[in-house]
Amino acid sequence: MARNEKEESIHIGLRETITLILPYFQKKLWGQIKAVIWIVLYLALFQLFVLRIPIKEAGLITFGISAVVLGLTFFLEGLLLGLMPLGEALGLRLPQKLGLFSIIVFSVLMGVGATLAEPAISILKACGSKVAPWDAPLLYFLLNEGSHFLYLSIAIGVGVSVVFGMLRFLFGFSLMRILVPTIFILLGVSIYAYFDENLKFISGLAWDSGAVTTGPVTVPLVVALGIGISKVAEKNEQSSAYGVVTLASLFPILSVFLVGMYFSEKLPKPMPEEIFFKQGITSEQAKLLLGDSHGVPLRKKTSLTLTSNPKEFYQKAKDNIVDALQMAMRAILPISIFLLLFLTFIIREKIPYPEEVFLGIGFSVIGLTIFNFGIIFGLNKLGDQVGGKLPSTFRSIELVDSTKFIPNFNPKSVLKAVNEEGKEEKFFYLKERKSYTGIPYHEENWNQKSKIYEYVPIHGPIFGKEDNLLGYLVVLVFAFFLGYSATLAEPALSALGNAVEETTVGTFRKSLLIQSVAIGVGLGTLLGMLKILLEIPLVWIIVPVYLFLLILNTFSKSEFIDIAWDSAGVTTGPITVPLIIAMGLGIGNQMGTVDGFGVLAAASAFPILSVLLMGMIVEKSRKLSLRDSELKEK
Amino acid sequence: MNSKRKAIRITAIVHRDLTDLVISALKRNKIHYFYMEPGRYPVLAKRGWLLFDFYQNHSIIDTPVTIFEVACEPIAENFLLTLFRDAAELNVPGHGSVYSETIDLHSSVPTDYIFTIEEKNKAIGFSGLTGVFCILPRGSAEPIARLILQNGVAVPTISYGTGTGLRDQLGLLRITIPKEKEILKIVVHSSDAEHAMDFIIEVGRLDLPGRGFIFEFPIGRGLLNTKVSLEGPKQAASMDQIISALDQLYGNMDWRKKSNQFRQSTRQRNYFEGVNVVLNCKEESIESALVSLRKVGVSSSTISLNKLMHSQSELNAFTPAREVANLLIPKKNLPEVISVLEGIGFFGEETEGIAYTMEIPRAFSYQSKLTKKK
Repeated sequence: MARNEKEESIHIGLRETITLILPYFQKKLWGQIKAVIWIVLYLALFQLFVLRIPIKEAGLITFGISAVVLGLTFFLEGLLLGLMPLGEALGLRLPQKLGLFSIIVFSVLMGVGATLAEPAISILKACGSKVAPWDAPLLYFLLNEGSHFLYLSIAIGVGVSVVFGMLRFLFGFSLMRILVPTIFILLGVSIYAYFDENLKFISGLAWDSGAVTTGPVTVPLVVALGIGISKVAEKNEQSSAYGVVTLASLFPILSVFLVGMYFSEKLPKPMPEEIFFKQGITSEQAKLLLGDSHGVPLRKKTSLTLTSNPKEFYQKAKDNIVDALQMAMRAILPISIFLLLFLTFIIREKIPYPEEVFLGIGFSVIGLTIFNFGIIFGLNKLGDQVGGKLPSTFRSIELVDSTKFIPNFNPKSVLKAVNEEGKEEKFFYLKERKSYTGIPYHEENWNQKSKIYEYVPIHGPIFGKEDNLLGYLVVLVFAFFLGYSATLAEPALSALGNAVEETTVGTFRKSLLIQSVAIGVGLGTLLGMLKILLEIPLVWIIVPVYLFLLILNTFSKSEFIDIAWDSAGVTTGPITVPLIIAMGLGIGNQMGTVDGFGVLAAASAFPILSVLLMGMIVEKSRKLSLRDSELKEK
Repeated sequence: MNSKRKAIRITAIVHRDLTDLVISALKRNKIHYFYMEPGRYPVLAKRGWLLFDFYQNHSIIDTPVTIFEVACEPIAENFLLTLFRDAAELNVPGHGSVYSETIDLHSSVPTDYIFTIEEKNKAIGFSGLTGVFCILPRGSAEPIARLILQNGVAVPTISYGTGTGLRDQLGLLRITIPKEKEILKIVVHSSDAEHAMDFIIEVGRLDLPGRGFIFEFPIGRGLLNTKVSLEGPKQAASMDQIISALDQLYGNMDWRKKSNQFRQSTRQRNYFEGVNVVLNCKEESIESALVSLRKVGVSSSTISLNKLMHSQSELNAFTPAREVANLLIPKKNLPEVISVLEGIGFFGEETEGIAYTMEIPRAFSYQSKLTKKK
């Protein structure tokens, strides 16, 4: 994409070029390092010093994390150069050249297109394999056989919300007029779903998919479009370009619920496993649920990561790179081509700075590829390690990935010991380096033929006895800081922060926004974790929080309301989602919960709260600058 | 075309919370066209709690403001100044400022673009003021603003803009040079102007290449914001109120002269003079105009975005989203620049351009030592 670079810079020698590019690149890279460093340090230090387990594959993870940083640098720069100017240019031209109807059609297309491109949705599907069809048939269906219905419903939800957002800019009415009814409908539907056997299990999914949809491609695009439109809209005097993102994360919730309701009739109700296999469901239901190809129902899956030899590993790495590239292309190219075509053929306008836009699109693709790759190899690995071992703070867990094989094991070395209750237990001593450790002996781990004893180390509970309160507290504190530090690195939030700082001429600082959002996500993650630990239904969290938010809204200024609600949709992106889900699954597996969904929903409700509160504090000082304090005291 | 015409430009900088009041006042008085641009004015925050008082460097709180601009006939100047003062109660410290400048309009505009009224008003505000317009790289306005506030020179207004110049000759490499700029404006008493300028040049290191640009512009009359900090009252009246009251008592700001507070500049600066050409047109079309202007030696300019409002939207002859470019050129180049603009159809339907100029008695930038044009 950057092929023009040399031709155009003829006047500048190579050395000058380098002196220009290096500091520029350094500055951008440093910015990303500062954003990502916290989550990495946090995860690594937590594992090393609290869980006291060495980090596996540390070299690979380091490599992956460097890829995340590099990828983010390119991707964000690409967004700023390519997609955002395109979006803004379109926003400026649309109302001038086209009628209302065309704008609506365009908005739907753009919303749908951008969402289908969004990489984070596939994460939802990855969680689907962990759900058993008999526990929650509807949830299983939507995540597996019927996943295209899920995607499409989410995409249409986003499309509709973009329409509403654009109409809002054009006619200049306040966000609350759409927000309040939407929230009431959503809460109503959630409560209804809570009392329905089958729908109950998808409410977590529905709320989470709302949070997931608005990622690093949709958000900057929609915000830029909004900035453009609100500039030319006559009726929008107090121009605020925000609010679409939050709609884009609320409407999909509704559409997922609607799809769920439609299929709920056709699918069986949840039932015990035995009934499921014994003529519990009709053949029609089975076809819908499991698809034609599955003659035999699935068995329970064992999720064991096996260590592989180098050759397989390279093959896997290669596949991953190709996957990452494909994902990035799928995310960026269709939507940019759509925008470019629309701009040139339907609106018939020149692209502002075409070479910059192309370079930007190229940067975005490169960046997203490296980023995706880095996520798979760096952050996810680290996150999985920490997430899987996190329960060891309150329970003893088996460290499957550090299983040791002791060759030529001699059963004669097994000794007997007596435990507190006077029972006999078998154990043997293992000499590692220079120290001897006692290891419990279990008959089934001893392979008589190969003479290998398989020893799975057991870790924890670190803080006192099994299920101790302190251990749970550590998990909650961990959840808070995980949410907090992962948010700092989130690219969509960074893009939103830039846009906010630009449109408010620096009165609303990017760092302030990111900090308050991060605190909110931290709190939300904490509460989501509490939900899993105590098995609280999601409705109990969502309903009071959103009702409280609506009350808080009435005391806030529209400027902050728009930004606060938008930041909610933005928070949960490609960095936060996998980490939070890894942690949720790690804990969820230990606790035996059906679905680990809902943490993201909580994590994206609380930033609204924190940004609104922060807005109130800022507002207070602004009021002070307006009023004479003396006059007030009189 | 020689439709040069004298007019007055009124600039009002108003706290964001008062924007609606001002807009409705403008509409009520049938002022059809006015510009709006967001900006901020920094205020020193309250002293910290307890031990934080240790540090004398106050933190800055940014207050959002809306910058209004209206063009009017000289006869309507006092009316508009009064209008803004009354609408936003600008005599209360912290509410904002309003000032007027003389401009030469070089393009034809709709009849209601320039506001006029028969009604006579008493002249308000002070005369003998000078504005300082300063373009800085993004992020560097903050420390300068802090120093200005701490010295009590004036209350600065900061808005965002983008700069073109060296960047655009680089091709794609331009992405390596940030174009984001901050525009800092202060209004001071004329006798302080040179020192204030010198002060900013020193602090902002404007004598280094690529750091920015500064010039002063004459102001007709003005009523200025005096709120420097959020500090709570320790006396019966706040410092801001005392200053404001003294201003009114003397009827001028001469008593606030504080030239001796500034460090005397160690060397003679090469100031130059010229005219500031303000081009205003539809957003995203100024770029092509600037490309053509580069041929006649206009190399750099500062672009900012504003919104052209019209109180009766059916009659609006202009698109609301506008771009403004400030370019400083030597006076003798002005006819050439205008004819180039006419040549490319800048004033036509396509770009909806408006051009006006103001005299700049003194300007400074690093490059001014080498070439006269800038």
